[in-house]
Amino acid sequence: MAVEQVEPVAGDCGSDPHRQMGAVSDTDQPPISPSEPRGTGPCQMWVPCCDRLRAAVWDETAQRRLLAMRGWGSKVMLSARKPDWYSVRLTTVTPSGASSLSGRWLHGFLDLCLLGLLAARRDYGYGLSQRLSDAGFGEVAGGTLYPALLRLERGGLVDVSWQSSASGPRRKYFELTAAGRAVRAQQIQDWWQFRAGIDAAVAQPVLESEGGAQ
Amino acid sequence: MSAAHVWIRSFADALTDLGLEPGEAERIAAETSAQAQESGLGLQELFGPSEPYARAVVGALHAAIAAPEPGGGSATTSLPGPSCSA
Repeated sequence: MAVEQVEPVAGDCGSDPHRQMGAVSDTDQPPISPSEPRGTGPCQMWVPCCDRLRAAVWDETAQRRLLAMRGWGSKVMLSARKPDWYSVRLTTVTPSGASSLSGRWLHGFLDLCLLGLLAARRDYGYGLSQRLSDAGFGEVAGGTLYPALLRLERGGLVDVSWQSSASGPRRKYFELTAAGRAVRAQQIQDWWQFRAGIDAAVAQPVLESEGGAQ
Repeated sequence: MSAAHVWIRSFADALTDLGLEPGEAERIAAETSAQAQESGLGLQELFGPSEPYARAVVGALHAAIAAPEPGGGSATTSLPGPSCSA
């Protein structure tokens, strides 16, 4: 996996010495090292910071740099912290139209995908969102994902439990029930049948039109 | 009053307007707030506007997928309900 070194950008950070990037020693300068992004999924990088204020400045800088570097939009969030470093997660904003197709396809099969992911292991909402992204579906809107999880919960297909997190708020975990496994098996059969129909339809021979393309 | 507070109040009010009991609406609102926190995103950013999201949640409550009948029979499946954002 290639790692890109992004040099810091000195900007107009005001008079606060903590916000003046030029005041940072060489050893304290990042290179920011974002992991190589895949598709439209998030990437993660660690940035050094002596205080949270400067980390926020770095967030903005990193965001601008990645925007320019990759032509993406990005949302920057501070997450975990280890001594003198913050983890900054960059969630890509899908480039216009890039994943709208997969999003529309997923819309009809989100329940099945969630049942499939939860059959592999229990997870919480944001974790599932990341796994869907890793699977190639891009960023699934929270307004789509969480109601789907609620639907599974109310249908008795998943059990929920709240668990404390070492790095943040409590998380609501979802775990497949026996009923959920049965529905998953049924929906997989339905999927294969549906897919066979699509395959048959798109495999029809194409007749050459006499006039050709308009 | 913070933007998050305004969003969550509007969301809870919309849930009760859509027929949920106030206690249930408050519980779902609290869960929704926690889900935003776990993702690190703001409520508006994660869920979109509060009222359409409330409609999506109530739609999900009414569209629960039924488990297959014991001893055979086909499962009743449901395609996902409405979403408030693409």
